[in-house]
Amino acid sequence: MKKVTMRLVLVLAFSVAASLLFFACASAPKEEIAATQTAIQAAQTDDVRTYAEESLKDATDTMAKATAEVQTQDEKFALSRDYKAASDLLKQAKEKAAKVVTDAQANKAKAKADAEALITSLTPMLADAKKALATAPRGKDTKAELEAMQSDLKSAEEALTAATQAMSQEKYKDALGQANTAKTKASGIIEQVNAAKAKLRGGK
Amino acid sequence: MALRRIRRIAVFTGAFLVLLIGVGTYELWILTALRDHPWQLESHVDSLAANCRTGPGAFVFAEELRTLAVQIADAKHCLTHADVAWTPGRDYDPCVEKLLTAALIAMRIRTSQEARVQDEKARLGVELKTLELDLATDPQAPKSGARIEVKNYEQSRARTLLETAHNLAALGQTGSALTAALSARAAWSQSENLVAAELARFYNGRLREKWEKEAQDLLRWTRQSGRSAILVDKLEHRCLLLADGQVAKSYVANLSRNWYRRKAQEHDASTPEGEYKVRQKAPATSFGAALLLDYPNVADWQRFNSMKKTKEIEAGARIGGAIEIHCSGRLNSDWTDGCVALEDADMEDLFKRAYVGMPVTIVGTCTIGGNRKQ
Repeated sequence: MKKVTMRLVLVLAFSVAASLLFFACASAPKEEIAATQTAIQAAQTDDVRTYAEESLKDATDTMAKATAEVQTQDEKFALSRDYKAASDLLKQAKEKAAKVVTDAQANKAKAKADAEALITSLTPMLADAKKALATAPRGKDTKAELEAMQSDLKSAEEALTAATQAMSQEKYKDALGQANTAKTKASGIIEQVNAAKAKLRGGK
Repeated sequence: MALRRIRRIAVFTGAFLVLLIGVGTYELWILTALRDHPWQLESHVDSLAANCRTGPGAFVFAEELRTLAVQIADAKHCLTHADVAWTPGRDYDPCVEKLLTAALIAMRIRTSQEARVQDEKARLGVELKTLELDLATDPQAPKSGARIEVKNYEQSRARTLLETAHNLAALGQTGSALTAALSARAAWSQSENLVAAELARFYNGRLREKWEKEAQDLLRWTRQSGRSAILVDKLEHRCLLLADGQVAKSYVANLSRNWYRRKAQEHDASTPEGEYKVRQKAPATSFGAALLLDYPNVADWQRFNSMKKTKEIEAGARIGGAIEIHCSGRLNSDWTDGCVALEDADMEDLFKRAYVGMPVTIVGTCTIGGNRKQ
């Protein structure tokens, strides 16, 4: 009886050891990896590249660290594998991927608001520049400058049109660049005319 | 009793050996093939592929991107199969090969995209630099020191577009900045074509011959008569005082806004060309001391009437007048309505030497005083 019990104990112990070896060891967090990969891939859009490139780089770097950690653990002896650090990194990467999208949305919204504000302020500014040109001191000696300023005004209006067009195509950074040019030109015209008027007043 | 102990030890040793052999077999199994899902590589390939899809100029690499997508789908399919395979038979080696192939394709696309970006950046840098140089310097600068300007709207457009290119480059929009720079280049080329068309008459052989004859006749007249005369060279922006068959003095001249055209009518902002005389010496006009010329002369009237007949100018157009050589000249500017402006000190000097009836010949260009294009 004792002999049978002893054998049973031995078989059981062996089975437990074998099970531990093959089944009870830690396994890679496949679902987490897949979910994080999906999140990062989904985050890699044109908008993200334009408006949140740094955040995207941060997220992909963390993902690379996480997968490297998973691989390191995979290569270890089954019983000594520990995926906790990898899981933490994956969690971080997933959070960062979500942040990338919100960052891009926020930065895009900011660029849009900036461009819109600039374009809105440009219409009265160009009208002011036109008015300034109309009231600029006229004489034989100022005609050349006035003609040059007319050309500048026309090109500023063209830049504003290009900015509005870029806005409609949701290219907000392009719109900003164009609008900034129009602003510089318009303010330059107003300044020049004011300076000419001041000079004339001083001359009298 | 002893026998039982020996048997027990033997059984334990046997069990231990079986366990050892089991572990050894497992390790051997691990070593003989890749049994773990290649997460790192898969993730790397996914990341590379996403980079390629949203990278700069992705549309240029559409064909390569399609090949990459097929390769990745194949690798993923292989991975899924290996994932569900029975553990002892699991082998990711073929999947790794497929992933590596996909990675290679992706890296090749990325390299091409990066090269494209670098190329764009380099092109932008060169374009911006050359445009700045082109727009700042004037290849038509004459020896006399005055700058020749043929103003047109395209110049202003080129400058505005150049500014936009700089703004866009600062915002990191390399592609758009390059487009703006290339548009600026196109506008500048258009401007240069307009300038070349306007200046073409100054290099016309027959006209040059005519101008040269007029200038030489005037020079000869000063030698023969012993009196002085004024010669204005429009292209060189130069006003020469001729005396005794020589150039006695050379002044830098400002001309009208459309100086490169020959005056045809009132308000065309062009300087006339022809043989005139000083009609009046006015010591204090709104532009200081001035020499009033006898424009329009007979030749001007003939040309004006002929142009009216051929409808080159409107029927109601007027010929204009009050063409002077006066003060208020400034550096590098063509600003008058048709007159010739000298710097105040130069005009005072010329005014002292001028007399009523003094011949004033205005030519497109001539060799007297030396010129830049023979």
